[in-house]
Amino acid sequence: MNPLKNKFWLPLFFFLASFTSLTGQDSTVHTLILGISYYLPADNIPYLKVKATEKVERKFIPQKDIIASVYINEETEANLLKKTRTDEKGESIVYLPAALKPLWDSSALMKFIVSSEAAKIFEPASSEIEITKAKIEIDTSTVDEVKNITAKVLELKDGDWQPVNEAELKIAVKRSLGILPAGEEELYTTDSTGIAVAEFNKDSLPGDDKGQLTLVAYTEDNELYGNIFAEMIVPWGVAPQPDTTFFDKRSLWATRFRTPYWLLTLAYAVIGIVWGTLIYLFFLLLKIRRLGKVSV
Amino acid sequence: MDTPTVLTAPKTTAIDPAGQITHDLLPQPFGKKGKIWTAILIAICLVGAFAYYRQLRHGLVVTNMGDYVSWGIYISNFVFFVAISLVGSLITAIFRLGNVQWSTPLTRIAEIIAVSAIVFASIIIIVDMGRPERLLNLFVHGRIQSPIMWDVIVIGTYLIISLLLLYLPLLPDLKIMNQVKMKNPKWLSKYYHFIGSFWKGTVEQIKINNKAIHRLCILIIPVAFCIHTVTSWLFATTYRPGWDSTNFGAYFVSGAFLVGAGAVVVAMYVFRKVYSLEKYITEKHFDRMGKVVVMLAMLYLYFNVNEYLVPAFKMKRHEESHLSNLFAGEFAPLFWFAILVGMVIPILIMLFRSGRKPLPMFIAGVMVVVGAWFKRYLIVTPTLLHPMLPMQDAPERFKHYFPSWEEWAIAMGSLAGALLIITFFVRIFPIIPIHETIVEKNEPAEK
Amino acid sequence: MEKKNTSRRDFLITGLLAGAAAGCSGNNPFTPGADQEVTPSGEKVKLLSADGEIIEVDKAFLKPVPDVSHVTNAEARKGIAGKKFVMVIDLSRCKNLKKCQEACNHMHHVHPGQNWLKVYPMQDAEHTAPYWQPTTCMHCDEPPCVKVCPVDATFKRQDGIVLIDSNRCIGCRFCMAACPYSTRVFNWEKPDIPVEIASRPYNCETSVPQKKGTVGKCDFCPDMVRKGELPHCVTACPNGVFFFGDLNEDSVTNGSETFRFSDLIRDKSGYRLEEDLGTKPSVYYLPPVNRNFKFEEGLKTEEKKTAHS
Repeated sequence: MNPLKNKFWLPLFFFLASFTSLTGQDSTVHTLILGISYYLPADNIPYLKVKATEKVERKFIPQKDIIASVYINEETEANLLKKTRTDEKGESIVYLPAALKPLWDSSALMKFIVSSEAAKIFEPASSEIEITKAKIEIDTSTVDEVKNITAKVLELKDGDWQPVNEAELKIAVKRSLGILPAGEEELYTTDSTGIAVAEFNKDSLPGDDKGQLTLVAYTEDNELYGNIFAEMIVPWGVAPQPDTTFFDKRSLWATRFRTPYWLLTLAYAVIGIVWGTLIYLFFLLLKIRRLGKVSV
Repeated sequence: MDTPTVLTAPKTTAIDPAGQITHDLLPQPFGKKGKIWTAILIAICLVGAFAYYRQLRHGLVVTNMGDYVSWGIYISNFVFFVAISLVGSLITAIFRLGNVQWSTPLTRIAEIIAVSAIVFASIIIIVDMGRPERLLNLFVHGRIQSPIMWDVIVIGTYLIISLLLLYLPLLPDLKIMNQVKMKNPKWLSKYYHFIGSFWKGTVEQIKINNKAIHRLCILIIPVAFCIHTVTSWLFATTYRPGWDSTNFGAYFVSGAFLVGAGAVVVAMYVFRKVYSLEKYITEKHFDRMGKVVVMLAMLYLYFNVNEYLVPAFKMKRHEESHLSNLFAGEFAPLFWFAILVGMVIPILIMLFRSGRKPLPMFIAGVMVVVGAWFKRYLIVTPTLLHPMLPMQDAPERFKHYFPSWEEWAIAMGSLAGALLIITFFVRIFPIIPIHETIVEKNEPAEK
Repeated sequence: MEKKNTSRRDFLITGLLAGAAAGCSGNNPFTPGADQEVTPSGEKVKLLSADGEIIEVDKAFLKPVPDVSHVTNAEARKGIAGKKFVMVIDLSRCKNLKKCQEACNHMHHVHPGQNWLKVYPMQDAEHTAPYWQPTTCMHCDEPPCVKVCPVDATFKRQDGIVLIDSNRCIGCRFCMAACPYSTRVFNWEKPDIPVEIASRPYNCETSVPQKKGTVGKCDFCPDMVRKGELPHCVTACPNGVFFFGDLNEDSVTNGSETFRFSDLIRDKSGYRLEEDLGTKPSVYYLPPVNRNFKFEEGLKTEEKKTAHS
C-alpha cells in the first residue's frame, strides 16, 4: 500500500546500504591495472610479459591469480595466444606459439592485447601495445688500445632491415645480479646509420673463470620496439681469484672442526693434565676402599 | 714438615677421651628454629620453581630482559655463585698447604659453600638458556673456541674436585659417626655406612688419603683461578664499554676471594651460634679471618680503582656515558652502595681489633656478601644499556631493565636452594671436622 | 669472438633458461636461475622465434624456477661457492622511509615490534650533520658473534654470509653480547606468526619460521640470492639506498642501477662501521653528502610510528 511504501522506503534504503558495507561489499572501486610488454632476449625467442597491479595509496601492489587473455592484433577467439594466470609477483610469461607463424610473418607491425574479465573485486581491464619488429646487432672493435662496442639497431620496414635513428639503448656488461654500464654513459642514442658506440672503460673487470665478459646491448621499454637484447662474449675481463681457502682455514671464528692448533693443544693439554690427575686420584680413592674391605 | 698435619698416623685411630669433641661436633637434628628456617627456604625454592615453570611455558618473555639487556640477574647471580665458590679453594687448599692450623674448623664450611654455590651456578645458567632442552648440544656440537665451552669444562672440573675435597677428609669422620650411637633415621645410618664403612683408619689408608688430599689441594688452586678468570672472559671477550678491559681476570678473582671469605665469616657466626660451637670457632678465629678479609677487601678495592679510575681518566666516547651513569647517574646509588657497603665499611670495621669480634665480623661479612651481589649486577647490566649504536627501532620496554617477579623469584630461589644444600649438609654431616679437631687437640700432648 | 648470428643454437638453451627465469625476476630478463639445474622433462613445445623459425623446446625449461626450500643443512652451512657478498648503503639517499624495514619484517615474519634492520638517526659529533643510517647485520669477516657461539649455531659461510641455525641455538645470548652493532634480536616468546608459516619446515637460508628461545638477525636473504634475486630490503627501498652484489664480480646493484664496487667506494669514499674493532664488516657506507632533502623530513616516519603504537 502506498503510504506504507513511502514511509519505509528511505530507512530501508539506508539499512540496505549499510548492510552491504557491513558485509564487505565496499563501495570503493578496485581498478585492476594490466600491463603488457614485449621482450626479445638474445636467444631470439620473443615473449610477452603480462603484469597485473592495483594502485593502493600511491603504490602499485602486484595482484596474483588474475586470469588474463593475450591476443594478437584483434581481441577474437582465433587470435587468442594464451589464457594465463599471474603468479605471486603479479606477472606471467607468454611465449609465441608455433601456430602463429603465418600471422607473424605477414607483417612487421604487431599489436598485442591483454584483457581480463570481471573477477573477484575487479572490473574487467585491458591493455595493448604495438610492436614493430626490430633487432640489435652488437659488435666490438679496438682502436688505439681503446675498446669500443658498437650496437646497431635495425627495424623491419617493407621486408627490409633499416637502421633506426635516435633510438635509445643501454650498452652494458652482464653481472649475476645486475647489468653494469659498459662505458661512461648509461644511455646511448643511435645516429642516422642506426649505430651507437660505447667506449668500454671497465678495465680489469672480473669475468668468468676464463676472464670472459658478456656484453649486452638493449632497449628498455621502447615505445616502438619493446625490450630487445643482443649479447656478445668478449675476453675483456680478468679471471676472478676468489679466496677459496677461507672456508678451510683454522681460526677462532671457524667451525668446531677447524679450531686453531694452538688452542687445541693448549686446551687439551690443560684438560689432560687436570683430568688425568683427577682420574688418578679417583683410583686412589678406590684403593682406599679396597684396603678397607680387605683388612677386616 | 711438608706433609700436612691434618691426619697424623697414630698407632690407633684417635680416641676422644671424654667423647666431648665428638659429642659437640656430631650433626644434630633440627630444633624449632632449624625447622622454620628450612621451611622458609623450601617455600622460596617452590616459588622459584613455579616461576621457572612459567618461564618454560611462555619463554624468557616473563623476565624483563630485552634485546639490549639480554643478560640480567640470572647472569649476575651466576657470576656471584661462581665467585663464592672460590672460597673452597682459598680456605681448604691454600690454608691447608700453608699449614695454617687455625683454619681447620673452617675447611668443611668453606667446601660445602663452594659445592653448593657451584651446583647452583650450573642450575642458574641452565635457567638462563632460551632452549634448556638443547643442553646436550654443548657436548655434541661444542665449539672449543667459545669461552662458554671453557666455562662449562672448568665448572665441571671444579665441581668434581670440590666434591672430592669434601668427601675425602669426611671419611675419618664417617667412621666416628658409624661407631657412635646417634639418634638417626634408619636410612641415614645406612647412608653413612654405605659411603664410609670401608674407612678403617689404617696407616696405609691414611697415607693414601693424605696424599690424595694434598694433590687435590695443589690441583684446585689453578683450577679455581681458571674458573673465575674464564667467567670474567664471558664479558672481557666482548667490545662493550665496561667489559672491554684487560683487568677482568684478576679483578674477578680477587672479588671472588673476598666474597667467599665474607660468606665463610657469616657461616662461621651462624653455626657457632646455632650449634654452640664457641669452643671450636673461637674469637681468635674471627680475629684471624677478619685480617684475611681486610686484606682481600683492600686488594679488591685496589682492582676496582684500576677498573674505574683509569677509563674515567680517558673518558673514551663509548665509555663516557657508561661511567658517568655509574658515578653520578642512574646507577650511582647502587654503585656507591656496592663500594661502600661491600668494601670500604667492612675494611673500616675490621681494621680494629674490637671490630674483629664475632658480632661486628658477622655484620661486616653480611655487608660484604650483599655488596658483592649488587656489584655483580652492576658489572652485567649497566654496560648492556650503553651499546655502541643507539637504542632505536626497538620496543620501549627494552631500553630499561628492572627484573620481573619471576626473575626475583628464581634468583632468590637459587640463593635459597644453595642455603638449603648447606642446611641439609649440616644436618647430615659434622660441619667441623671431628677427627681433625681431635687430632689437633691431642697433638700438644703427643709432642 | 663469437657473434650471436652464427652460434644461435648455443644460446638457445641458456637463453631459454634465462627467459624462463625472467618470469620471476623483475625487469631484468637475464638473471639465470643461479645454480638451479632444471632437468628436461622430455615433453617438447613448439615456439616461434623472432625470425619466424619454429623452435622446439623442452617444456621443463618454460616453468618458472622453483623455490629453493630443499637446500640441506650442510649446504646452507657451506654457502654458495665463488661468491663474496657485500652491501653498500648510500647514506646520501636515505630519508628514513623504513620501507626496507617493513619488507624485511614482513618477508621474514619477524615478531612485531622487533626489527632486524634498524634505521638510526646518527650524529657523530656536536657540529656534524645528522643523517639516517640503515643498519643490517654486517656479516663480518672476523665475526665476534661466531667466535663466541658454543654450539656452532651461528656460522660464517664461504660466500661471506653469517647465518643462524635456529635448530641448534641454545639461547645463551652470548652472540648478542658480543656483537658491537647490536644487530641481533632474541625471540623472547613464541613469535607471532600465522600458523601456515609456523608449520613450514625450517631452513637456515630463509630464517623462517623463527623459534622461541633462539636468536635472529639479518641474513642477506640467501634464499633470494640463490634464485638470482636481490634481498628484500634492496628491492623495497624506493630511493635505491641499498646496493648488493658480489665482491668477486666487483659489482653492486640496487635493482635499477649497477655500479662497479671498487669505483663506487673509491669515488664516494665508502667506509665501514666501527672499523677500529677489527671485525671486517661486509657492509660499506657512502657518506651523506649532497643531500637534496632535510634530515628532519625523516622524523615524520618516527611520529607516524609512535602514533600507531
